[in-house]
Amino acid sequence: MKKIFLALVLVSFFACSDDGGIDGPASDKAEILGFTVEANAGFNPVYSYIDEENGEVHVFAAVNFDDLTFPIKLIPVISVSEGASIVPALEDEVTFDDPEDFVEYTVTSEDGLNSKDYIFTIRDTQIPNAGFENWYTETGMNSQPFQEPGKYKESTVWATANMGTSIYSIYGTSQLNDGDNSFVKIETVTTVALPLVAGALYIGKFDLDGAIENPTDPVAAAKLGIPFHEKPVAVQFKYSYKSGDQLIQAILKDPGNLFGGFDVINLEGTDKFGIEIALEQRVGEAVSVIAKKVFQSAEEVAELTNVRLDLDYMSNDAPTHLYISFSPSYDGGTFKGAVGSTLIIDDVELIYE
Amino acid sequence: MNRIFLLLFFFLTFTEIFAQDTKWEFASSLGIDMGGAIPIPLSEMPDDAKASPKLKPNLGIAFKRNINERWSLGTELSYHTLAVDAKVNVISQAFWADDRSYATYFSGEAYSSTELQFIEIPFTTYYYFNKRWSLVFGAYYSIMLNGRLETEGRNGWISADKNDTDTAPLPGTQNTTFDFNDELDNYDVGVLVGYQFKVGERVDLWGRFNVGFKSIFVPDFNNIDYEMYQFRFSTGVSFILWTRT
Repeated sequence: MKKIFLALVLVSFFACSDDGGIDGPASDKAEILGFTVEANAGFNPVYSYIDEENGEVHVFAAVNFDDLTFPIKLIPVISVSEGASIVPALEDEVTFDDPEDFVEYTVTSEDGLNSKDYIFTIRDTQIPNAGFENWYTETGMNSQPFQEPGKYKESTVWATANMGTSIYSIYGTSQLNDGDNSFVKIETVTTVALPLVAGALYIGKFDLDGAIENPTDPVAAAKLGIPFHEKPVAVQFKYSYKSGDQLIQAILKDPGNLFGGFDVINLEGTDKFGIEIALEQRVGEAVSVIAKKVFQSAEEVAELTNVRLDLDYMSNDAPTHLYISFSPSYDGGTFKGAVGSTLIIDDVELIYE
Repeated sequence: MNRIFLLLFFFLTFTEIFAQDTKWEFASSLGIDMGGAIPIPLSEMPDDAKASPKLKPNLGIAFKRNINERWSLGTELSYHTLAVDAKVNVISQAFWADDRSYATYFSGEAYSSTELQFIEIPFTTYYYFNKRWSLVFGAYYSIMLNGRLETEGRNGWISADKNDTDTAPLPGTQNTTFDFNDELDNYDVGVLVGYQFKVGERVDLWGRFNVGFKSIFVPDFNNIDYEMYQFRFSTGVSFILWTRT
């Protein structure tokens, strides 16, 4: 009798286990919880940032990629949600052929119902493709190809407003070549619908959904910033600038309706370009500025000229994000500027003490 | 000629048999609506358009004055909801600027969702074939309470250059939305035709087809190349609550 009772208890136990009754249901979580890499080939990781919103993992090393020889092979050390699987496998070595290369990971939950894709990039103390030598081909909203800065769409840190203006086959930000050197030209342009569109170049992402939902707010599509933890003292770059002929202010006749047309007012004065640099600490929705610099100028600079902008630190806290934005018309976000204003940028460098 | 005379004779005799017994009637009605808004000219509607009208309840009250054995006049006050979802594949569908100085074109899958809530006041005439069957026709005026017309372009391409969208390979990768909620007019007028069938002393079944005579958009709306007119089929049951001879 006792044997029968014991058998029944055991059967009940295993039945519960099979159903998940005692162990609990299989997890539906599919997240990367921790990510770093083993030091190798001069890449010594010092900081990792997992960007759940965008499905990105960035591992930073206190090196300059110019001092490393690519390709480099790295073995990631990854932790994922309980019971989740990951491809490539946890122990697999991955290869980076160049500093902008990336590896795609897919995490699948224990219950097999959810999966999430991540891209893994490596970063040094500088900004990737800061010399604007690499450009990839993007397809615009009009099905036509155009160029964007970065070697790969998936890993580039540079963003422009070209996708938004591709409806009009107009691209405010473009590649300019001088022999073997490549730099970026940012122009304030006009389209059939908009009397003035300031070209844009910034570190971050262009949010097409934001542009569609807020067609009368050019700034709404700019998601500024990338994960960054270092504390540079300054930003140095080369630039030239020429203002457009006529400074204008375009005002929507019917605020909120891009198709309602604009009133255009000619203004006295000269257009000016604007550059904004910020180190921020972002914790959830809270953003605090660690260091910032805003630079505006209307002065024409015909030849590419070096400029160094020292950051003004307001806090000793550790930054989590960095952004730099360039615009040939500083007030372009409010449809103020001069069509034809042209800002050329090359060799952006972060300066450390 | 003799045949016409014969038909007329039988017709008049037939209707005479089913004379109305009361002068005034007051009724409540309950039914369902099904319909939407169709592009005019109809040539603007692509062949592969797929519409999914939603059945929505209607509710109302009706007064009727019986004139003689064959004719009655009536008026009503009723609440209606008209809802329809539609999907259509479009090539270079134009959305014009208010001043029509330029257009944005879309090629791809276009989805629309329409819902109109309104109070309708029809003025009707009844012609009684017999004691059970009658023809109803008339005109209506409706006051819009809430209107929603939202469209979404998916898996397509958008361009201000029609050449791009004429030749773009589909499906595309772009999605967009156009919202016409603020462009809907606050009233509608049109005509109706239908039937009424008496199933009991105080119960009638009815069915009607309503067609709008004006665009559902405000008069200065010219962002698209066509108008849209309301059409609706309604059916339901009326309960005569009160009569007076």
